[in-house]
Amino acid sequence: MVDHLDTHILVEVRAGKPRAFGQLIDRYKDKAMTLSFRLLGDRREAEEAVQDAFVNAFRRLDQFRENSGFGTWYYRILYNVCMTRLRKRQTAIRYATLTQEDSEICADTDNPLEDLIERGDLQSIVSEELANLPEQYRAALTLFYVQDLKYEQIVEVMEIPLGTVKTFLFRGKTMLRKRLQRRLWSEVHVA
Amino acid sequence: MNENPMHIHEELLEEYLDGTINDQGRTEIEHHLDVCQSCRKEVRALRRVGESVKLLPLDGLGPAFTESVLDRLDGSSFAKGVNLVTILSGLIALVCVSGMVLAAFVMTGVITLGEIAQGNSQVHQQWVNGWNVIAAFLTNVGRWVGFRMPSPSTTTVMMTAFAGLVLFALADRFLGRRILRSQGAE
Repeated sequence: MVDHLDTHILVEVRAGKPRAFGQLIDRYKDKAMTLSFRLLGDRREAEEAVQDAFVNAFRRLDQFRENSGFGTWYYRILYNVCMTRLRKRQTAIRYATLTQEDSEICADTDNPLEDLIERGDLQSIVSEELANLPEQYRAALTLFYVQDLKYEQIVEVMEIPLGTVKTFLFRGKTMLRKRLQRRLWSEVHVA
Repeated sequence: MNENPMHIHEELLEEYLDGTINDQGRTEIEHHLDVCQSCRKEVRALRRVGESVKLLPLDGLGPAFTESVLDRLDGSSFAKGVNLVTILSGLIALVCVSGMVLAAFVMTGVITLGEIAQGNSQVHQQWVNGWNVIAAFLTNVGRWVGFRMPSPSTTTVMMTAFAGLVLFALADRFLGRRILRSQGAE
């Protein structure tokens, strides 16, 4: 998905106007920060990651192939920067626990989310519960809903097979839904 | 619900909502939703989860952020291969570096301006001799290891070319582009 404005800006940058790159930064920084913050959970570190990713992208512009779209290409760099930071923190990638947690949550389907979701401060609850999902699920959900990427573009960003993207999205949504269901249900009943 | 054959699996409903299901699948699901209240409710709940994530506010960054990134970029450049700017900046840098070295030699009295003009100073001879010794040494080591080495004079030429390229690249990287950038050419 090629964005013509991005292409135009890149032509200027390559023609010897590096400060034109600022327009690309302005276009992507907020969504990039959202992805970064959701992955890293720390505002200062998230901002550093976004900045590092922009600098890396600029230095590697010669490797960028127009067919993938600057946004997708940049998000891949950012995703890798964030994952490297997460690995440095030695945050365990919770593949091992996913299956168990999924089955536990999937068993709980009786609470009527549709009714509960109308109540309470949904935004802050969604934000908290999203932050508690495993990072691959958070990343896939954010790329899909915030960055508006298609499945195939998420494949490029996360460098995983299409089937795995679908699985991450499905499990992420299911897990988030069940957690919201429980959280809202308990809030309504405690109140 | 997932165990009930009369209802649609949640994963299929997700694909339906994401718009990634084929036409036939979408038609079948829509027919089913017309008659199944439970699945309609399920679709609404799934849709609300997606919307709730989509509607979360973005974690914005102010205009100062863009400036701070651009400041970092001022000290770097993206790789563009060998082009006119690279060649020009490298040549400028080489001239500057050579000039500075010669100026240092002249100022410390190692070499005089007259000797530079004649091109056969003692220092020059010493450098050439030293260079030839290194070339001869590399040629002999290469032959001893079993490589087919060129003659020592060819090795000297190759070493000189290689050293020139390294110096060119270093000068371009650390000096030439800064000069061009300060002049607004890059």
